[in-house]
Amino acid sequence: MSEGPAQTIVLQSNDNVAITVERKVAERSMLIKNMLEDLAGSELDSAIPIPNVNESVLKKVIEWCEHHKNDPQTAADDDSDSRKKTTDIEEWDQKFMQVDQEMLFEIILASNYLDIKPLLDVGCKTVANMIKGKSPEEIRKTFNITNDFTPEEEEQIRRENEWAEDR
Amino acid sequence: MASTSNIIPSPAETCHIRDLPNELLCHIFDYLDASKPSDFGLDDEPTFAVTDSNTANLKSISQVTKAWRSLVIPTLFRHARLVVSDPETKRPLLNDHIAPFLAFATRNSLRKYITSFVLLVRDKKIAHLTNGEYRLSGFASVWDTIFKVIDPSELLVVAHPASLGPLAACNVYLSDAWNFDCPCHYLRLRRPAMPVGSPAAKAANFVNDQADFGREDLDQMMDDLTVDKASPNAAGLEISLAAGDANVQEHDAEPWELTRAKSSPLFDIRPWTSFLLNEGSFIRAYATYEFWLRQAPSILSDLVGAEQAEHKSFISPTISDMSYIGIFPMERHFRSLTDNLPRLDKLFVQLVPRNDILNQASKMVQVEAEDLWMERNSCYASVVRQLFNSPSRGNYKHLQVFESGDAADRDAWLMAVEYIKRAGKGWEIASEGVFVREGTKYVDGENEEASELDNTAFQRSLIRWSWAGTRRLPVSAFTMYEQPFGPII
Repeated sequence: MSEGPAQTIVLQSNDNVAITVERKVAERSMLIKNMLEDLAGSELDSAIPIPNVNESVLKKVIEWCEHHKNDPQTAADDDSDSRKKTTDIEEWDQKFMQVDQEMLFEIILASNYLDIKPLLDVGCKTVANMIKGKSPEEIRKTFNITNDFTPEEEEQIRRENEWAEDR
Repeated sequence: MASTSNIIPSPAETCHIRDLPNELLCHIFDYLDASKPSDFGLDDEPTFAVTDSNTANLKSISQVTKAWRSLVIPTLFRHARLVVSDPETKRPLLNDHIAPFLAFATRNSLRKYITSFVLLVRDKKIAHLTNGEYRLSGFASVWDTIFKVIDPSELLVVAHPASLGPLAACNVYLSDAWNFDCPCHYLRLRRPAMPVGSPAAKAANFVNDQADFGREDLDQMMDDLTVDKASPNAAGLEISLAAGDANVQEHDAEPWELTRAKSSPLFDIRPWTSFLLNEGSFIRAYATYEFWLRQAPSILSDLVGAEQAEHKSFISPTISDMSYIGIFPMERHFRSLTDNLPRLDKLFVQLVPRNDILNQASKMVQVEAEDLWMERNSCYASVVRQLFNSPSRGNYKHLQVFESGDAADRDAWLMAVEYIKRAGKGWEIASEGVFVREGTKYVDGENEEASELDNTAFQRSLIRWSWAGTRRLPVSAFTMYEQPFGPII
C-alpha cells in the first residue's frame, strides 16, 4: 500500500489552512486512515478537509500524532478495562496537555471526531484529574459552571446520595 | 481565563466543558469510577463505616449540575446502601426507612443499574415490639419489598446480631451479649450477575416465590403481617421505645425456647452462591470468668441448624462457597459450624485478626493472650479433625477446598510436612502453607493425615488445604499437640 518513503498528505482545517503532514502521522487518526484506505492510492492531490477542527487545534493534534507516530496501534476492541480505570498519564502527554481549558476541550472534541482514541483518553483523563478530589463547588469554579440547583434540591440530593456507597 | 505558554489565540467561539457531548462526559466520569469501599476490609473487624470513603468523586460530580447528575446516577448508584439509624426518640417502622429509598430507585429506574446493596442497621431493636416482645419472623416482607424493586447480585447486611438475627430469621442468644465488644457483624451474599429479564432471573424470582415463610408462622404473626400486606409502607415492624434504654439482653430466652423459623427468606430470596459471615471480635469475653462458656450473640448456630439434630441449615443449597471470619471465636461457638458444616465446595476460615488489635491495650484489658491462641488452636483442631476424618463424615464428603486466612502455626506445619513426607502418597506441598491432592484423577487416595484410622475410599473430598503461609505463634502451642489431631495444624 505504501508507495515509497516520506509520503505526505495535506489536511485542510476549517479555517482553510493547508497543513502538510507525513501520512504515517496522519494515520494515527482512524478517520483519516480509513479514508485513505478507501481511496486506496487513487488521486491524493487535493487536501483532505477536516471540517470540525481549526488550524491551531489541528496543529496541536498533529504535534501529538507526530510524537506518538511509532506507538503500537491500539486494538479495535480497546474498550476494555485496561484502557480505563487509571488516570495516570505519561510525562510527555502531561506536558502536552498543559494548555488552557478551551484548547483542552477542543483537543478532546477533535480527537473524538478524528477518532484518535489514545489522545481522547489522555484528554479525558486530564479533565478527570481536574475533577478528582474536588468538592462540587470547586468543580464548578474550576470549569466555570453555573449551579442550577436550588438550595432545596441540593438538600434533597445530599439525602439521596446517602443511598449510595461513597465513591 | 487561565493561560499557559502553549496558548494559541482561540477562534471566536470559545470551547467550554458544556460543549462536550454526554458520551464524552461519561467517558471522563468513567475514569473516576472507583471500587466500592465495601470491597475492602470485609475480613477485618466489622464497622458501620464500611461503605464510607474520604474521596467520593462521583458524589461530587452528581452535585455539580442537573445534567451531570443525570449522567452519573447509573454509575453512582451501582453500589447502593441504606442506613437504618439508631432512633433517638421515636423508632420509625423499618419500612419507613426503606420506602423512600425504594421510591427513589423506582423513579430513577435503578433496578437495572444496582449491582450491590448494603443494608446498615444501626438500630439494635428492630425486632422489638411495642409490648416488649421479641419477634423473629415477619421480616420476610422486608426482603420481598426490597427485592421487588431492586435486584442486586451482592447483598451485604451490617448489623448487630440482635438485628441481624431477625433479618436472617435466626434466633440469637443475647443474654451474654454484653460480654462481647462487637458493634456489628457482616453477612454478605453473592451470586453471579445476570442480566435482568433473562430466563435465569425469572427462575430466581420463581425460587423467591417458593420460599416464603411457613404457613404457621404466617398465621402466628397474622396480627402484624396484616399490616405488612396492606401497604408496603408498613412492611416493617411496629416498634416503639417502650423498652426505654433497656439493652439487648432483655431478650434472654434460651435458644431452644424460641420457635425456629422454617427457612430464612434472606437466604432464599435469590439463588445465592457465596456467603460470608464476619462476627468480629470475641476478645472482650475472654476477660470474663469461664469465658469458654460465654455464648456469643450470633446467628451462626441457628443458621447451620446446630441446636437440635433435626434442624436443617438455612444456608441454601445453591451456596457452595462460605467464608467465616471471627476474631478469636471460642471453640464452643466455632464448633457449631464445624460440627454442622453446610454442603459446600469451599470453606474459608479466618480466626486471627489481620490488624493490630492484639497490641491495643484497650482491647486486651484483662485478657490472657495465651487463652486466645489456645482457643484458636482448638477451633482449628475441630475443623482439621473433620477434614481428615476417614471416611469423611457429613458434608465434609463434598468439601473440596479448605482455606485459612491465617498463617499456619509454623511448628505444627513443619510436623505436618514431616508427616506427609513419611506417610507418602496422596498429598503434596504446593507452597508454604498449602497442601494439594496429587493429580486431578486421584479418587481413592487415603487420607494421609489421619491414616491411622482407616484407608477406605475417600472420593471427591478435600483436594486443597491452604493457609496464608506459616508463622510462629506468639505463644507456645505445644500443649495442644497432645491431642490426637492437634499436631497437624
